[in-house]
Amino acid sequence: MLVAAAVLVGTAGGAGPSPGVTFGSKGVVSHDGKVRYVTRRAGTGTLAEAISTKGGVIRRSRFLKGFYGVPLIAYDGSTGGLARNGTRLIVYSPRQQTTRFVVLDPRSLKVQSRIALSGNFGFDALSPDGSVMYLIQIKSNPNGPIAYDVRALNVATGQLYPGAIVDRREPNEKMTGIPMTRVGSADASWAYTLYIRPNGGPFVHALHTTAREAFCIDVPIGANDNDLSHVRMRLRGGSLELRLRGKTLATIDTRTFEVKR
Amino acid sequence: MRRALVLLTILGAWAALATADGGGPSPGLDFGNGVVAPGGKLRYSALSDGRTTVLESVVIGTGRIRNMTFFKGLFGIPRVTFGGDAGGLSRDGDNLVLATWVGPPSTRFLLVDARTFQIRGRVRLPGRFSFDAISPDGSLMYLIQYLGPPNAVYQPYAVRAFNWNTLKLDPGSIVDRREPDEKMTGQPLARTGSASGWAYTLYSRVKKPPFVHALDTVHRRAFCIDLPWKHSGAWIARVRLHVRGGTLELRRGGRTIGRMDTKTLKVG
Repeated sequence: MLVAAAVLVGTAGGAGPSPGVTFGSKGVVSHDGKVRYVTRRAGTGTLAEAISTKGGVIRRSRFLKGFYGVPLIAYDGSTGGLARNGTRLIVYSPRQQTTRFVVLDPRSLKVQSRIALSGNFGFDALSPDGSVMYLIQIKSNPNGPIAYDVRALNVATGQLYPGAIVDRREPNEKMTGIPMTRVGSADASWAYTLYIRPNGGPFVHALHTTAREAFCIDVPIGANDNDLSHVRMRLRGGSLELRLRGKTLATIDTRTFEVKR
Repeated sequence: MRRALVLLTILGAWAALATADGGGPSPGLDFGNGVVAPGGKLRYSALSDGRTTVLESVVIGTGRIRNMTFFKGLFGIPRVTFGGDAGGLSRDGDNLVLATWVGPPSTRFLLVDARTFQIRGRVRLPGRFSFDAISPDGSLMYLIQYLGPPNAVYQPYAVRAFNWNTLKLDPGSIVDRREPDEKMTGQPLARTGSASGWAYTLYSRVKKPPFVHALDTVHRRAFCIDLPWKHSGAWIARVRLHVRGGTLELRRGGRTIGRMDTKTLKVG
């Protein structure tokens, strides 16, 4: 219900391109489905926990100073932050001035590194080995919809790679919109995100998380904003399917990015 | 949290030593594994940094946190055996007891509404106590009161009943009325319960036969039933208890090695 409310507000008023973080129940689940990682506010800090999904046993816990949540990556409540190979878990604290990230070892929940970036960033994706983190850098734009850049960060050094990750076919197009839902390829090398825009149709942002490349694919599916908030995506074979209430609205060839309705 | 983990590691090491050397009868507190609700759908776990305790209920099967709260102080889910069995949850699923480490000078207990996590009662008992069992409706709590010097191993103890409605200990101890003068000693190794409110605990003793402590948590009575083995060897730690029909089965490695009729308390 909260997610739906956020989506509605976002659609009407231009919500940010990053949904922020989540504290509590949902967290993020490991690729094998055996462990759920959650963070909870605890006094002046955060309690990070690794919970066995099968038995509900708290396997590990760690107290972190400051408030750090599990990254939300779309307004349907999709979460991220865990590397596909299970070696890194990112939690972060979104702020206007400085965004702070903590990189945890998922097995021990020990802090591997802390990264502070000047500016307003949101988490977007992680490469399969956790070495590259993709961020939404939000740019203030008082006269129009919120614009942003997709940036890549070297997790080992804590440094941003120069420049933004853009669709080289349309390098000058401004990134706008809010992420509605996300699906990733089985090896986590691709992250497909459905965005809606206040002025413009929906598009899928296809991010290659190992090659630091992205492609924006317009998907003229003719659904209204309310319906768009219920669209889900799935990968089948070499196709990305956009589905609404059990029906396929459009199919994108993941090699050519050709859209079929 | 790190400090608490160090503390827990130290205490965990102490518990392990106690087991090996024949320590006192308290298995201590649990942080993380918790206790499973009747029905097997929820697990209650406590975590603490030494000053604050987080109590959570986690959905078994998804790992999602259902409910969470904080308490001031260090409280854990009480362990009831050295085999890792945890207790504190009433059979009706409504009440959960949390405990501090055994005193001195005192031991504290909280009675928590297992659904809302509201505190229903709290008590600080002068002396050294540990949780043993709770009645099916949560109104009565059974405690082990240690009677020897604080650091003594294999010290005698008494089973006491505490009434959560009156917040008072019942006078006297819960003894086997057939042998009222026998001193209680031993280490709890395994536990099972019955729907009617009996708690069956397997105890080992040095150079004595192991026994089953059968505690009727509804009617405040207990029986000690010696088992037909000369000594409590190391193997006894691998024995598990199961209630099947009117029989308490003692099982080891999947094989039943002893049976006790739960009505007559006769061992076969």
